[in-house]
Amino acid sequence: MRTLFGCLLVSCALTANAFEKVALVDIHDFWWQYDIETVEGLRQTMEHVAKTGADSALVRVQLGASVRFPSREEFDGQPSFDPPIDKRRIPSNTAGGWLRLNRKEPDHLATTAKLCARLGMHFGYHWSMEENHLSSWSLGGWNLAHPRYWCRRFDGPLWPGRASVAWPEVIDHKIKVFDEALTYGPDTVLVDFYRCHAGEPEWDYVKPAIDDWKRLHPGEPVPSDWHDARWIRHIKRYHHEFLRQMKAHAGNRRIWLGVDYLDEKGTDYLLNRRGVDWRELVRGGLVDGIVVMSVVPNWNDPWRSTKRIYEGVMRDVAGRCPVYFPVKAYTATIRPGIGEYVKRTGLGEVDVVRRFLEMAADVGGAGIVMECVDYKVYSDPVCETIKAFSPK
Amino acid sequence: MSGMAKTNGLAICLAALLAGCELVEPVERRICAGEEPQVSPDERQIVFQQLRNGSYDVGVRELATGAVRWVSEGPGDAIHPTWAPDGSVIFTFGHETETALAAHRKKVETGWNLYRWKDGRTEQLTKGRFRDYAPSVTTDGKTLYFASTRAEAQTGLRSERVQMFRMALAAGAKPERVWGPDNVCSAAAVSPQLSPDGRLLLWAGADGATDVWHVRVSRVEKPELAADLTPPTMYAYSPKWSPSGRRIAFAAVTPDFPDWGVWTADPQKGELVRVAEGTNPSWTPDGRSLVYDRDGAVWMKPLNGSFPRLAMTDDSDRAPSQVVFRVENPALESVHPLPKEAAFGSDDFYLKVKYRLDKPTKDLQLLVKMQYQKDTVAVVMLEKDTRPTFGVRHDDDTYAPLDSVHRVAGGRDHVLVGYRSGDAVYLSIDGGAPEKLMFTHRTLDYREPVSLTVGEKCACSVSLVEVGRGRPKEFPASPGLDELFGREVRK
Repeated sequence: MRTLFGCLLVSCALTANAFEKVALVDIHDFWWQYDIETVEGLRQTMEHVAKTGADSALVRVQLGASVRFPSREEFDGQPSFDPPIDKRRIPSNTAGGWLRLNRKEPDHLATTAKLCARLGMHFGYHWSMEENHLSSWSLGGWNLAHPRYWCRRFDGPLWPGRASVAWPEVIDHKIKVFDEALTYGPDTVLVDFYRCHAGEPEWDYVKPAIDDWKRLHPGEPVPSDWHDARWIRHIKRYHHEFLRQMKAHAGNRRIWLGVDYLDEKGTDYLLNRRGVDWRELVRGGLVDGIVVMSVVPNWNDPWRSTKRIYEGVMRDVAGRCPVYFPVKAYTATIRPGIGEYVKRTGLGEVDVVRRFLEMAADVGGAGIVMECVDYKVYSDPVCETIKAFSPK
Repeated sequence: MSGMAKTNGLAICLAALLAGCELVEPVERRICAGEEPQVSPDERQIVFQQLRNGSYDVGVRELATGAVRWVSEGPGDAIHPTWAPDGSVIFTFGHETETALAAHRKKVETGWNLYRWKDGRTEQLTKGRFRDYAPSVTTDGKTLYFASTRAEAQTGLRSERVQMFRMALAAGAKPERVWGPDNVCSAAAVSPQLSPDGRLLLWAGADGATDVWHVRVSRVEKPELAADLTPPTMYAYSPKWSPSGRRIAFAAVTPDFPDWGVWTADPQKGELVRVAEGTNPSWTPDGRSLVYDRDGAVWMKPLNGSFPRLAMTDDSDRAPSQVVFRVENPALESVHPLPKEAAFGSDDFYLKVKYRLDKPTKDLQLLVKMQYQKDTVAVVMLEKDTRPTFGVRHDDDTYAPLDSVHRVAGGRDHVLVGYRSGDAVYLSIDGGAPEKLMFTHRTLDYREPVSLTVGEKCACSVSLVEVGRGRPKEFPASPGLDELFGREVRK
């Protein structure tokens, strides 16, 4: 029933607004403003998100590998249970470190899905794999119980608690968790490898990957340098297999893929740093949308270079699936947000955002993505601009 | 500091696998459902935690009859039970009745605290919005050791850190910090336990999100100088001294034994023995058997059989460091050629600078920069707020500096020593305890040295710059197992 409701909601929303405005939301990051362990706190959070003008909210499903719903698969058949202190996890003493978002009451995802429906936003997931925030405290229970699947570097070190999808058993587990999460009725799942450092080919020197290498490349030693294009191509197969299975299980829900660090030189961060070839996935029909999470413009000519990057993506996608472009609040390393464009171009933030919106529409983008909506990171005038924007 | 043992100090190498071809392992015996078992000092009872109706309770089971008394029941979780010599049970209890934010706003004073149960009565030993856990009691019954987050602030976003504490075993006693990692995110020292002779401290430690847990031992008076008992490729936690203090049991995985196993270490014999599948081991008081948990059940196994074993070797590197470059009173913005000996590759090296900042400045102060053919790979600088920073470049082209938590006053000389060892960097200020940062990537190989620049963009005076291979004298080496066990435990 929840699934059916979600699908109906999607179709309404998409009909109503062809240029989608998508908010990526880590509800965890609202813990300081709102009591997100309560229905009231989640209501306040999602109302705050809706004020951005978003017609779609993709919420994070997990912190680390700890999922935010009472998963039987993750918690070994014990729904809504997470051991209070496991000596292999390192607790955080911050107030946020005491959050428990996998309770049965209130069910975090079910509540958020209902709130999205009430607020006229369609509901989906920002599936950030095993993201690294609170990286020890958030280690998944299943991962801890199965150390044989942990990530490993060529020179030996393990990444404890992080499981490699080169193991079929890990993909099986993640797909079971995915199936459980789908019962809450998301219409879209944005898969984000960027936030998952353990997803780097550097950490995939695990037995299945090495055995496959030996079988497929007889006589060739396993590349010791994980940057080696041959190793990246090799590891790509496991990440793509995981996405293929997600797509197969997703049914009529949309699987989007986030791509990062795009520049005019065509640097392929997602391939080189995460072993995921987004162009190949688009060609193969394994993703239903590309979300450009960030670009790296040439600051000598920021707007035209940004536009050239957008056009390059559209060329590569060649109409096979919709493309969404960023209206990004934060600047992180060389991934500029609104503030950096303001600083570099001298324009006001509203003008910068308007340019982002117009540029996304001009190149034929299907919408924009706000990465990510935290408490008041998009100012009121910016939100009004986003809300009011409609492509000419 | 103890983590340095992982890469260049005391390292224990796997020297042999499977000493015997035919292994005749003794039969294990299932005791009951539960986890974290410990047999009582009188050997008549076993204490354990068990998941019952959605929360953990601690129970005491009579080994002869199987009768169980529940130390805790009802709402809330009781975990990590341990015996005191007088037959009382110490455990951690937590019951969250508020949401995280509500508890924070109401300044709730309870967290996961330690309790003592004796003769059917329970008393609270620690208080506060912390997680106090993994306790142990000294052989004389006077002192309680435990892990805690109590040294950490309740604000900020995402720090994870656990340190070791001790206190007199009495309600109202004040916990005292023993030691723990400073300024390192996702680092911890957990499961502290004093050796039966009171000389050595044992714990499990991790130095960063990508670090495996190590079983560590130090002299009790010098916990900052610890030896890793377990090899770098072994993930090991939950250690327990044997009653004689000659051996240590712990849970671990290794590349060759990738599922959770109960292991023992015998430093005098120099061997690691895999006893059983399971976790959270502890010794029977006679030292002849281990109890442990697996799949939610408590098991017991005698040690009078043959088991897979690995050899331990102590290959501690205590070679003195070697200075490869040194300049006194260099001019600001002077550029000095680096000798070929500064091609450190992936070996350990250090960069020392003595400087004086005459007045605080709002600008970043670049004290020393080492230039290699490929890139700038190592710098020592002062952030805008005068916090020192030492950073190296990684093989993924990112630059992740260790930013000290300490601010350094102007108007007098200071000595900063940055040290790169393995996948970590360390920084010591004026001879103080080093701070540490571990990386998810390997640091760059340092080949083809070019130059060293002093005081670029710097409103300060520099009186010494020194670059050297190996561990600088400001970073004392951890003691070896021979020192810790050969002379102390053996007698």
